[in-house]
Amino acid sequence: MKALDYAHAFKKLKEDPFGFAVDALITVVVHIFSPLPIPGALVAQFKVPILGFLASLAILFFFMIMLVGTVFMSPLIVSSGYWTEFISHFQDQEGEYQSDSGFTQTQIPKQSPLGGSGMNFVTVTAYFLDPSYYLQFGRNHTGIDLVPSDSYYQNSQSYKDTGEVVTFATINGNVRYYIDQYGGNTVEITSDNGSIQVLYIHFSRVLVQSGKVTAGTPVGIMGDTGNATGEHVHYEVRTKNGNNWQAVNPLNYIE
Amino acid sequence: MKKIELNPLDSNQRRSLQLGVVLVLGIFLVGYFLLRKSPTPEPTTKNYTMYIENSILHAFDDTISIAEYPSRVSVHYPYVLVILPKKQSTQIYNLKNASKEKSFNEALLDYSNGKTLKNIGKTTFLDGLDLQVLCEKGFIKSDIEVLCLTKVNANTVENKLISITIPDAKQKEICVSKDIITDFSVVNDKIYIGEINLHNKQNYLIVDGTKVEVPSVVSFIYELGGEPYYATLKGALSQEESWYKIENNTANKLDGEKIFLRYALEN
Repeated sequence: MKALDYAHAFKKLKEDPFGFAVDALITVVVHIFSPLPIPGALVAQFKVPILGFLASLAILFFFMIMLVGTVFMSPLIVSSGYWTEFISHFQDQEGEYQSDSGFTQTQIPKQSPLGGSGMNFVTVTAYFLDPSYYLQFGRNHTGIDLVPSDSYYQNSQSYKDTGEVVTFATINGNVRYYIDQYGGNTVEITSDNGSIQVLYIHFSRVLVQSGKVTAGTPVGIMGDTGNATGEHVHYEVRTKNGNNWQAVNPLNYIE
Repeated sequence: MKKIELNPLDSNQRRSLQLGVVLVLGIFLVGYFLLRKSPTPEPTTKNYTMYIENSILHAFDDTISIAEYPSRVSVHYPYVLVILPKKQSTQIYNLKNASKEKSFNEALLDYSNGKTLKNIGKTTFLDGLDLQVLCEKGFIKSDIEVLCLTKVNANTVENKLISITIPDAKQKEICVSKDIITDFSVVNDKIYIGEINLHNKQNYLIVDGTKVEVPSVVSFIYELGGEPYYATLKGALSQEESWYKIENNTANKLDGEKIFLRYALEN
């Protein structure tokens, strides 16, 4: 049977070389665009022409749906919170974020929330009571906005270990977690003696929601939740003024 | 199994079919490659204008959004600084040459004659010189003087304009505000200061110590054609953009929806 096919093909090639080449080209192109058995073959297999044709169409349609779904839906799924939540079930969070032993145990926020020495690990993108913030939003900027510096990416052990910008408690105290009025993940730590508060906003993930922490405990991952135009840590320090908390310049405390 | 005749055509019909398929395929391939490889036409004329419209800065052939805080524009003629702190980037354009001058991977406060003014940590630096104060905005007035907008008190909103001599970093107060100085600049050796009253939201312009009311927030002061102007950008205190020419210590509103920093005809 095969020998006859080859003989037939050879005869066609000899009689009509151009036509043979075009037939071959069409066959290749058709199989590139549709690597499934062509409907005619399926018709022959099933011996029920309509059913075979419909079956091959169904298979083709299924693959197209899978392809389109994969290409268009993947970015949406990955960028949504559902993906992070799904992945987090498979991650061993115990011990994933280590405390930073470089922090001094204190009730005064002397160190930058990203660790390191002084302001070495941070760049300030918006300062305390920045006039431009007032013009933009009609209210005062009561903290400082921090992003990691080049030195942070080169030297931070927590970044090397996790690949994420981990933010640490700068004082010993009690944690409270809430979502602010703009939707930002907020962690507030009140010092043990009740005289000072530090506050972090915009976390993408909160690592501690309540209880006692010491300086150097990881409390959240830098993000852009709430009123933020990009990933950063809004860091605020408040002192007790009578019965109220009053925001003060955090830079006055960082040594 | 029944032998299937897939192509029961005579030789002429078959040749027509083949030619038709080749023709369709050829048209498809030619069209595909023409569409894919046709080069984007290069702009034949360079854009010499610079303006702001709807919080977008059109800087010659570049378009940069300044809508998102803390992105901002600062002008130290002939330089326009587009400062993008979140991206740690400053783009500098030259208004005289109508070209891009330089690009920095950090947020600058000012740039003049190759010198940079920037905040590092808790203080401001003129190149490598620590000025021992943190400036919210700054202006390199000369080789021996820097103007700096700084807080009156580190924990309160009021600010003041000071002059700092180089290299000894001695400070001298120029204007102490009871409210907020929103911007300042130097045009033709005169210092122009914008201010807003926190209580009644009234806006002011201070020129050589004379304070006059102006109709809208002084977002930034700049020089155009050798004359002082100021612009109001969109924000919580102003719903629309506008620009004003400062003449005889008064602000005259200019028409148009674009805030021009450079006209095309200046070249």
